[in-house]
Amino acid sequence: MTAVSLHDAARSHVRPDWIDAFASVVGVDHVLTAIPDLWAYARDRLPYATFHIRSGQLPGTLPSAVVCPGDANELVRVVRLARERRIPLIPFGAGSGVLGGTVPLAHELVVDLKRLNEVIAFNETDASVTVQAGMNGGQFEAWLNQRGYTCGHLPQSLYMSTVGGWAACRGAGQNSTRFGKIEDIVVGLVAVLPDGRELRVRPVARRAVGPSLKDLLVGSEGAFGIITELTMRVWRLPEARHGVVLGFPTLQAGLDTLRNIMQSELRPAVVRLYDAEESRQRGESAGISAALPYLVVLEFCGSARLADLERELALEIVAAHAGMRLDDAPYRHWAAHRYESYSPQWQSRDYFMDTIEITGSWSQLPAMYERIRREVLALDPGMYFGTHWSHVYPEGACQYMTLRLPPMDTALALRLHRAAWTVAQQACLDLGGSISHHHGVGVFRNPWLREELGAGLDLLQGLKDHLDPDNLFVPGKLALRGRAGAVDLETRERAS
Amino acid sequence: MIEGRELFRFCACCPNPCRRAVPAERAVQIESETPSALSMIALAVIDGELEFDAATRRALARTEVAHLCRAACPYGYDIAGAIETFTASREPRAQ
Repeated sequence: MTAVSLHDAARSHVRPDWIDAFASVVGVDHVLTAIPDLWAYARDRLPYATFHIRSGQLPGTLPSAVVCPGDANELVRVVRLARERRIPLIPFGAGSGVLGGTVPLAHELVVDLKRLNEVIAFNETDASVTVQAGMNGGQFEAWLNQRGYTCGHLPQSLYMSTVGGWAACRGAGQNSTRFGKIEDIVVGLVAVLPDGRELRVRPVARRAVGPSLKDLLVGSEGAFGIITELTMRVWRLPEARHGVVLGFPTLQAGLDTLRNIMQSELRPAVVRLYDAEESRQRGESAGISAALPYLVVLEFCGSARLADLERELALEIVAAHAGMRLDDAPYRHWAAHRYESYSPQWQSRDYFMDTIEITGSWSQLPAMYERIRREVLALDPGMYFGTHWSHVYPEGACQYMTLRLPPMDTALALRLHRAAWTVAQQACLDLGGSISHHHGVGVFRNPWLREELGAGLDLLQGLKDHLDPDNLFVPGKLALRGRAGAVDLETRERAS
Repeated sequence: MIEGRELFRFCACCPNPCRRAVPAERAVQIESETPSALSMIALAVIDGELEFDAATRRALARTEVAHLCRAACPYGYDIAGAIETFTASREPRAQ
């Protein structure tokens, strides 16, 4: 089964006969059934989807329709209606996910949450804010900044994502080393379960009332429920920010420096170590050279005294590992462009670009990097492979890899692309890592989740079967059971 | 600066960092009005995957959001203007 063209899909598309029932809930102006609208919802930012979309092919299927509830009550009614009529659905924020979590595979109904976009409550005493799930990330952060606060969750996708999407995919921001991943920032939430009931996790700092229900939803990618609002920690805007740019003679010296910074209880806001390939692109003008081929960018923030002290303590660790202070131009450039995507320049010119982020322990990261780099580059002489380490912890770090194939025959490129993914995910599994640090599973990581979770995947499937016995919420994602007749990306690639 | 099909292809591959310029209080908040989606629709028309029929005309006529997004495009493109130029070029000329 090969990918279907938009032209063929449009000719065979049938307007669902149940759509008027949804229009009676959300209003006729908030239901979309026209082919151009459905085309816009047939993708997210999964690069595999982009490879198809740019040549007029569907990565999966068209959605059957799109509905846009205006509040949580309408959403509950949409969910109940979908359950009554056995209609599978996919909640949709801004579609910035890169693993295909919102790509329809069996003509699912897309439920766009962007009308749920208000800040509900702001409690300065508790340093928390409650916000609806569909609010744009950039608008949310701007709202807080106007009041002297930050959420601390600042992903590259800040402007192109929603707050609910951050939590549903268990994301990480570029300042996660200081403020935590989204699961550390969310303290409470409200979600609609597949049977239409409300699940409310009270916003409190910590609790001991059984396993974390919050974590059942944060990272569920919509499979267990649709998050409608989140209560999150907020922080006062930092009084001072200090960027630091460094060069290191070896990769191991760079990794050891980051490890020691974290194990010394310092809390830099930004930590980025680039491999030689990526360092060359970013740091040559600042002093990256054959003698110092590895670039590190750090940022310390907070009260001026604290930021000064953390920087000075970190520089002592840097000096002990032969690191050299460089001109801070790479930090300024990164800060100026931190929310931009650099993929359009490649994807629009028929390159096949993707990114893979994994988590490894300090003891395994060097071997993980060397093995993946060697095996990926061996796949094709034109393959680009670059890596940086960010989101660092006392125990290990996120290894973020960029792959890029030049324009070539699409079928061959898709085989090489999948082979590169297999190399990266298998090496990670063999060396004790996690196959995803913050992009999530979606559909594209399905093949590797069983090996990571083992019996845990059966536990998730059991929960799914209990919560959603008709398998209506985001079927076939998160390595959970798909629907009969759904597009199977892996099988399709093998067949072609 | 790129234009025409090349521009639509670039924008269709871009994840809409400009979408933060869409006011939250706007009654309609749909994906197909974003610059990237409009570009994707126009690209499909150019490539013969989507007919330039009434539904497509209606979709491409919704350029209000793209106008709002113009100032927030990190690459400096005017997608609303490009879509309007494209649409006009596809309409039959008045006699």
